[in-house]
Amino acid sequence: MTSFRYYRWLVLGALAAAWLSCASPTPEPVGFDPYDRPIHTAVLKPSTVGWRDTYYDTFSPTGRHYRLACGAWGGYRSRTLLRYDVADIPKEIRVSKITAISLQISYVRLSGSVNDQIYAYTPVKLTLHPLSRGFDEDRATWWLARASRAWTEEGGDFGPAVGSLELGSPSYQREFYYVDITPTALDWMANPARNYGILLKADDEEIAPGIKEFYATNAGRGGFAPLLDISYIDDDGEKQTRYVAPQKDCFITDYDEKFAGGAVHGYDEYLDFGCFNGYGRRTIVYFDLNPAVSGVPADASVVRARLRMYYLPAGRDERVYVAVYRLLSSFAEGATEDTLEQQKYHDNLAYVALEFKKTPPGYVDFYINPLVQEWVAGKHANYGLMIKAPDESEAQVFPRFAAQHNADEGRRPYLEVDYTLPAEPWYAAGTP
Amino acid sequence: MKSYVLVVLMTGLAATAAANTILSVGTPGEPAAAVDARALGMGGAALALADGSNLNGLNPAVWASLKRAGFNLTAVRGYNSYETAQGKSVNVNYDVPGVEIALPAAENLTVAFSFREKLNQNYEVTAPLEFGGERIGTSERRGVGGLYALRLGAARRLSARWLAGLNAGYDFGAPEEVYTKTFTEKGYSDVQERLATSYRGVGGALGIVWLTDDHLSFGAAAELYARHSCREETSNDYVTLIESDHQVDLPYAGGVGAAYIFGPRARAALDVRYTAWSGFRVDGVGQGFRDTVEVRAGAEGRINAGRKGFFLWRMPYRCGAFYAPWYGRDYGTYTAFGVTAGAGYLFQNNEDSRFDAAFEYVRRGSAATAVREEQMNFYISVVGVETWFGKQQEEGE
Repeated sequence: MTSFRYYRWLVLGALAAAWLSCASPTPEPVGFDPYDRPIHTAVLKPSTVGWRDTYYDTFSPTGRHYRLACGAWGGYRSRTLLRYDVADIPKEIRVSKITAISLQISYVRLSGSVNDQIYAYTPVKLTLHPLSRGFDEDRATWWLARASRAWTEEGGDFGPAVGSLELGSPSYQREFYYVDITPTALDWMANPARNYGILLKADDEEIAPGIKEFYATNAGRGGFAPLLDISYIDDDGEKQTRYVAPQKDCFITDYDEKFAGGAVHGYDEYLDFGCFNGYGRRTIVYFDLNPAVSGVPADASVVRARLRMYYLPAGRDERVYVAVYRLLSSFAEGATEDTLEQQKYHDNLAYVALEFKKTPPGYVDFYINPLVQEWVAGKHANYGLMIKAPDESEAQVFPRFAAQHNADEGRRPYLEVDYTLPAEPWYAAGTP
Repeated sequence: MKSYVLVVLMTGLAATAAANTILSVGTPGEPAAAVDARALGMGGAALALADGSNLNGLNPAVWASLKRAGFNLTAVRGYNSYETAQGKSVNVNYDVPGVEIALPAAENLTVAFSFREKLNQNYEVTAPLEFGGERIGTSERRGVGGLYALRLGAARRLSARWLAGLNAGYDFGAPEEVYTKTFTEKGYSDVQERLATSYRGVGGALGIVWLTDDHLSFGAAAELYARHSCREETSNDYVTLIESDHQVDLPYAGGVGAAYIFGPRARAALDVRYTAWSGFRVDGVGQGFRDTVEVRAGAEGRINAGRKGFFLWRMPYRCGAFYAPWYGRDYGTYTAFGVTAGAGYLFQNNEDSRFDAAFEYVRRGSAATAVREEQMNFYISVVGVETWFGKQQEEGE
């Protein structure tokens, strides 16, 4: 290698440079007929694909919501359930030294959060009642105290009022209200087994003056939740106050126009959806994606699938936020409310969400591309889909979609699927 | 031993190699260059070149002319552009088309191992995606991978005038075509379909060389394949759409060549090769490909054939030309003409060890499709003979 002198390295270097410096590729090559798979469109109309649609109502637990509601308005009745664990009362507070125990209500109006709805503006008198049956905040509804245990009386089992307060029009300045419940709280301390909690309701739910809202412990605003306010004299003779946060808090809602258990659904002109403080309405839709019926081949790649629903705003045209879920069991038009309430759906996966806010009447599009792709490919059984509010604890409204039975054909729902067929291998065009 | 490790590593690199031609769209791919930079510089003609320095696997009988163990490692950097009605596209790519190791095992017997790329299905084409008369995104079609051959062979000098060789081995490859639609319009989901193909099979080659005298030689070689199995799977982002198994008959190929050694300073070669693409069948179904006949010719010369002197005069210079039509069904009269040029740098103490470089310029065209393609490939090869493996020996010792 000693004869490998510098000029030979120069030659090799020149060769290497030439090898590396030919040219740069263009960032976006162009070509002819690169995909060769046109986009096809299949329009699935109710009359051709075994379409089924209906809606039903439901009561949802509110224990995970950031807000508590209490009062009556527009046919709705909401009640707040609270439970304080006496074990949370500091041990150094001797019962004999307690001077008073009150329920502290933090009352405030915050835009888009609490007491910002039309139903919160009028004064409401609330009463406090000790509960006589325990509740599970993640399961409690107007009907149920726990998962499989109904209230003896719908809307909660409770005793006579032990206190009351009147809340006026909400202010942007936080106000505190106190209701003395000393005897009741001392009874809880003396007999913890009788401590089922306390219920707040409108004093007269028939006249429906309004609904008041408070922050729940889930809001993460500790001082804003209803607190147990314990006043006592300490060992030094000083007046002291300690606060205890709720162990459980939720609210339950009833609606005068809720469907009876035997109500039959499925032949309506409209499909309701939305929610109000734990009461919800859900639209469910089915269309047959069997290739022989829909015309969409089983091996199609879906590039767009839009469910087109004709939207009709509610009278109170406020925000509604809904999502699409996959049904896990089939339904039939003509089923009863009791049957439809058992409808199963995949609640952990919302395929697409839409927000309606001052949306004019007309067709709206739910892009359900992955869902339809999975159905077409047979990844999941197609039982249909559900349109509902992701969190039915919200205070929204109940707008409508036109159903397949709507008298106006120009408002009926349909599904439009754009798809491509799978690429053919290069040898597909061979000749024998 | 380190050199062996290097060769094995480079063999692995070849699996990620890329060539690129728009003509691979709708075909099993580009027949890969199977020769080294020396033969490329001579237009790719080397079937009969049994001069003891030919190490490219075109004809397994040529191995018998090697006196010492050696290896050949070739890499290529390609510049490819094609022009269609939509515009012009340029691609740059790298490839390692082959590695070969030959070891004289006994008197008049050489064994060899080779890794060669057979078909290269790399390409990338894109176009606007239109629907309802509006552009709603971009469509891309891309090919990756190819078919490779591992061969183990042997060659024997049957007599002073006759050399014969054969090899056999395993063919494998998993080329994949990816179809992507990317949307810019609301509501659409980008989709990507993958058409993965997996080949398995065995194949081999036979060759002979007839040295008529010290100058003129003739060679012939044929490549044969057993029926290959092929598994195809088409899937998109969600599910597997299609799975199927097939039997593939690869095309037989053969060629004859002649070489003339004028003396220590010059030699010339001519090859004619035939590939029976019409025999390419999938599940017994012909694919409508055209058989191809390639003609390749080239020459090599040195100004100073001695061991001393200015190195530029001692370097071999090469040139060549070829005609090679495309086999595809859709391209009618798509033919390629190419010219080549190259040079080698010989080590002073061991002239069989060398660096070779070759440049290849190819034009393809089809009146039927108005597609024009231009390729410029730059090959480099490293050829090492026995002293590179540790045994220091001068010729004539």
